[in-house]
Amino acid sequence: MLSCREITELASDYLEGELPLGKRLFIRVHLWMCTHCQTYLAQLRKVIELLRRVPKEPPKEELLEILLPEFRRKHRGQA
Amino acid sequence: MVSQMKRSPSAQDVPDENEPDLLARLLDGDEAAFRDLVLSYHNSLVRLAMTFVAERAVAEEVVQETWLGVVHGLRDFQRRSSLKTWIFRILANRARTRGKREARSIPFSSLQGPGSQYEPAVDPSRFDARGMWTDPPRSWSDVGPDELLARRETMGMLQREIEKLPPNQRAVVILHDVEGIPSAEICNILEINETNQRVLLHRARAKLRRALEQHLGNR
Repeated sequence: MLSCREITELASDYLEGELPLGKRLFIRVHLWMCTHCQTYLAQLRKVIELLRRVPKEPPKEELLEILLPEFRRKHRGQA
Repeated sequence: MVSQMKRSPSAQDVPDENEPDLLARLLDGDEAAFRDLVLSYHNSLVRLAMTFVAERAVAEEVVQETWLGVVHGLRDFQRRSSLKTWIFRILANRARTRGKREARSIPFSSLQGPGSQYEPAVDPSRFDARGMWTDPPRSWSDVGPDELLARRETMGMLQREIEKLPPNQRAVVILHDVEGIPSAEICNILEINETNQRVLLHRARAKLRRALEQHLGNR
């Protein structure tokens, strides 16, 4: 029987499907019985979901002013 | 130019399944496609560069060099990896070289150095002697991802916590969870093995969960 503390150490690998079948089954049995660890996993899933949606700042205007003409020049040179 | 800087919804992400089409457009000289590509990955490229070099200005220079490398190397792109992985690998190689020149070399190749020592996912004082919860986590079921996203202070906190991660953990979490690059390709980009990648990801996520727990507990 895995302890809750062990579950927290395995949770990330578990969500990635990186664990061998035996360990996955032990975790599933534990989760079936332990609402606290279910909550822990749900929190971790939420963190991952938020990371996927971290807002992205646009680059400085000057960067595109350098890159776009270079992209255009390169393409024309090869066309 | 200003209007070009505004991000369209399509610039949020360039889905991998559209990559053949995207690549064809880029090779065809489609500027809108190139602009969307820059807008999609620029932020993560700067963040990744910051794990190799100390100064933001230097990181931005490395990113600019990377984009110029992409412009000039696009026709030679071999498609042995995804376009995204190729771009991030160019960045990592350039940033690594620059970091070494600046004597800021991150020990990505091993689990040595900052961010690599053992740290428990959860404070051990929250478990009893058998490792069972005595101070269990509280449910966040009342706060969905959309609500959290809408809270600017929550997302701001999360971004600050990402910046505070040790560089090797930060690099892995940006590539894996923010950019969705597969583990095997991350190992290739960062020149680390699969086990190191998993451990660094685990520690980064655990740390961000703790920060969010503290933040939501104090709301």
